[in-house]
Amino acid sequence: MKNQFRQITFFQNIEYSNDMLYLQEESHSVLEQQTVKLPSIHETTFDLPHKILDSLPKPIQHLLVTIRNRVRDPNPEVYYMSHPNAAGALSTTWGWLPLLALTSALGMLLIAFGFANSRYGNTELQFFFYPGILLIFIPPVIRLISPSASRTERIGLLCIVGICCYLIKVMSSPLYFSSYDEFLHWRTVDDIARSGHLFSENALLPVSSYYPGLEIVTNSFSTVSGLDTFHSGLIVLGVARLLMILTLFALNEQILKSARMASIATILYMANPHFLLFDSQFAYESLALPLATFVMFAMAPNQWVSTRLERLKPIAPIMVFANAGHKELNSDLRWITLTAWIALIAVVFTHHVTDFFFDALLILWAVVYGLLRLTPMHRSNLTRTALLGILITIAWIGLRGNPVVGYISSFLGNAVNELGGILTHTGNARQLFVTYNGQPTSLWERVIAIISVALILLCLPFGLLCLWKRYRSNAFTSTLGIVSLFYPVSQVFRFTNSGAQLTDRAAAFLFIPITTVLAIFITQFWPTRQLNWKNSSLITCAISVILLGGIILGAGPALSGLPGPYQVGADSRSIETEGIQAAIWVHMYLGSNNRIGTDRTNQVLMGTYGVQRVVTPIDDNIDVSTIFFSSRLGLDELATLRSAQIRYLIVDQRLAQSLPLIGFYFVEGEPKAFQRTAPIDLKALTKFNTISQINRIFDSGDIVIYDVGGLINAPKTP
Amino acid sequence: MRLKHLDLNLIVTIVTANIIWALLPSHPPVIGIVLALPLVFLLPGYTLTEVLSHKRSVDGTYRFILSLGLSLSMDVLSGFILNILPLGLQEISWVVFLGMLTMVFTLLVAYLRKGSSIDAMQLPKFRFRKHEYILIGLSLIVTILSLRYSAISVAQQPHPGFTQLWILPSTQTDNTCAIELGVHSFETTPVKYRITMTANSVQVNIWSSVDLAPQEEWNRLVPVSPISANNVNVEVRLYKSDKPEIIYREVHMTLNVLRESTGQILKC
Repeated sequence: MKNQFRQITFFQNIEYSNDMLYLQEESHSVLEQQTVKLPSIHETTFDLPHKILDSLPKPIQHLLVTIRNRVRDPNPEVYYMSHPNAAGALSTTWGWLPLLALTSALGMLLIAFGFANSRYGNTELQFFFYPGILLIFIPPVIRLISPSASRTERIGLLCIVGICCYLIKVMSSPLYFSSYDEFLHWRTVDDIARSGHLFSENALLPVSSYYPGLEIVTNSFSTVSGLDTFHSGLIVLGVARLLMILTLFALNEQILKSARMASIATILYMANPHFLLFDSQFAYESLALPLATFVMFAMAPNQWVSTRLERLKPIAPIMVFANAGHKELNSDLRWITLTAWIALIAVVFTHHVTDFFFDALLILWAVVYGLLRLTPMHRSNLTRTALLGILITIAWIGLRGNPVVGYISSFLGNAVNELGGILTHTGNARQLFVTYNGQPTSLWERVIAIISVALILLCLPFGLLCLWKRYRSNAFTSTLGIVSLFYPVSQVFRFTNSGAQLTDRAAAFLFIPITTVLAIFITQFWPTRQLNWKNSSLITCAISVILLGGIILGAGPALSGLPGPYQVGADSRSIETEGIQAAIWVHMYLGSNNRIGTDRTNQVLMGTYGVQRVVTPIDDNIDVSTIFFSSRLGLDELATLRSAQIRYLIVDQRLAQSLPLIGFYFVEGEPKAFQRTAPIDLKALTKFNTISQINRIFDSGDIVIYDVGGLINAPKTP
Repeated sequence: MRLKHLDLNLIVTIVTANIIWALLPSHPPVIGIVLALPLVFLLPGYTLTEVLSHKRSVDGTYRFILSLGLSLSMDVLSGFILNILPLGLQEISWVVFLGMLTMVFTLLVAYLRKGSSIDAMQLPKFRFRKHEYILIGLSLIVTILSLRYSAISVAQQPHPGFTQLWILPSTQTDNTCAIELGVHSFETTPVKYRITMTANSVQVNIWSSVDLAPQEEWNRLVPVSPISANNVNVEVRLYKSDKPEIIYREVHMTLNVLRESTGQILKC
């Protein structure tokens, strides 16, 4: 019985491992609270005064009393030896894992079939995709809710589900990079491979060169193994995904002291809208997030060790045993800190937003830790770690040429301005569940997505109440509780065009605390001793809805983020052979790094396959879209061409076929972005044919390349 | 060899194999992948964890997490160090640096383990029963099939065939004018083309039957003889033989001719 709830700490020092044996019978003790005795909180924090309670109708009284009892339950995870499934929970066997591995694999096969059908132009993607997803998730969820699964089985199941999710992304594009962001980072990897050094200019995403953590690891594996960038990237991301799942489980296991709760929290995390696709793509966040979670995992035992150290400090000089323990704990603290610092520095160099978020989290954690008065704040390792993080971050931001401040502030500024416009009725709210070219999400998908967000919002307060009652003495858990409160705020940005992705991007971070809170809520409200098939089914259904909702939100309106036939301005769905071949031709016949003006899709193709220097507002502060939108090449357009020193214009005539799915053709700031009602005029795109100084040097039907060097006397290469 | 140094011996072997592999002139990728996986993703972190957790018993899963997390972090930091060095981020520099890092930690672990009673990490025992092996095997097969099926479906994804036509100026050593013409077929079936070329609206060349199979390319270097004008406007049109009246592809280029007072071409 003891083993089932054994606290698996970061280190299991033989000397104090006995102290750390976690007994549910003692769960209200100081040991269980991991730190010092809880500060006394008046019991009326949740209890309503009897007068008010008595005045309420009986059903509400009953409900409130039930909630109170559930929240106060000190032993929700108690699993009596007399229980018929007890033996399974304590064993180290794989349990149902082999069978559930097969069901998950069959789910993948269904999805592969759905993707293939969709590529051939059939519209039944959702009939295969959703059943496949449910087949991957539901059986493991049922098993993870059950108290009878062993820790080994739980870890195995989480790895299977997490890796299956990653492989779904791989199956969506198994032969080449296809997501927009992937091209941006591919260019940085290729620049590193070509030059052998970091910080080459990447006009597609200048900030990427200054945060090259993912690219460095990919370059390392690619050069050592001899594998190409694409396949090396897949392997790096697979390893990162494995680290994310295991770290999240271990982190939750350390703070909740239950493998069951940790596994529920981890599987719930997979329901965040960015888990399936966005955080599986070849982009810096996909590596930075696991590394940042790893920092938290490394720092999680800090409170336990520090408080022990403080308690032993006065008696250490006089007692031999205490002195030895003191030294041991000191060494542990150094180990924890060193491990966290190595990973923290790596996070700073890998992704700016993840770094900023986790710096803020560390500061909050240090503040909460200080408020609990566990150890003097100035001597706290947490404070030192937070300070180190901030110092390195500031130093890195201050590095000459690092464009991160402008990059982030313009993005946030646009989102906040737009939100302000909506709130003051001077701007229009974005229409939810419809692509910008008018493809709607089906009704049932909308309902599921809304219910999933509503379920999280509904359960959060109860989870926070449980957290307050049972875990508030742990500074880290309290910090997670505070951070989870940002979830409702983040949802507001869904109604903006430029800030919509902020909501889903924030979810990848916010789901770490949210899922911990929800796991606490689930275990407190449905304690294992009362768990029956009805309760299990209810929890499974709720988790499934949250999961499906997350996937619907993450896959975009009308599942536009998943494979399918070509569409205009649709990022991954706009990547096709003709564009790729045109880019390869440019590299082969025109050489590399010519200054190019083109639309969003061809920008990334020309920047990667074509190795060209694409002119972008983000790097050149020049918006070339007006050259293409204008019905004639006037003086303004000529001035733009000249100031941008553009040598070649790449015109994709398919742009005139329909509205762009993502709301714009060239850049977010182009005229009429997100508000266009008619496609770009074909005459505007073909106007270059009749200008004598412009040479039409390439024609592949849809894509035409114009040499405008004669018009502007641009050099061939910069 | 003592059993408690088995892991260290294995690490030394992997590092040595990686260095030898990097020095070999040809690299079949499969072996490279097998060797690179532990060197990049596991060994630096594992050995550092062993150094730091000396005399402690760390849970197997946590040890694995620490190994992965520290290895990835050290890879990132190593990249910055290599960037400072003149050799930069190359195959040999990566192998030597990661190998050296791992070896230093390995020696430290060996030193720390001297006289210690704690054995090396116990590898998890995967005890499956017969039917469980079958189920796991089936899962792997289905997963590989799914990936393979996806890859095939992408490769065979139907897309409209297209043909590239291009024109580029060609620099000649004897100051004569010439252009480079090219056609590359990405059609789904073999296609017969007709190509016409005009200079200042005068037809100068015609290729009435150019047969190209899918993925086949056709190139020509075509001399252009400007008689009097300073600029020559070259237009090339491509027709498909099944629709001879419709222009299928079209490119054009103006060649600027620089002449001497005698009329001889200086530059084209």
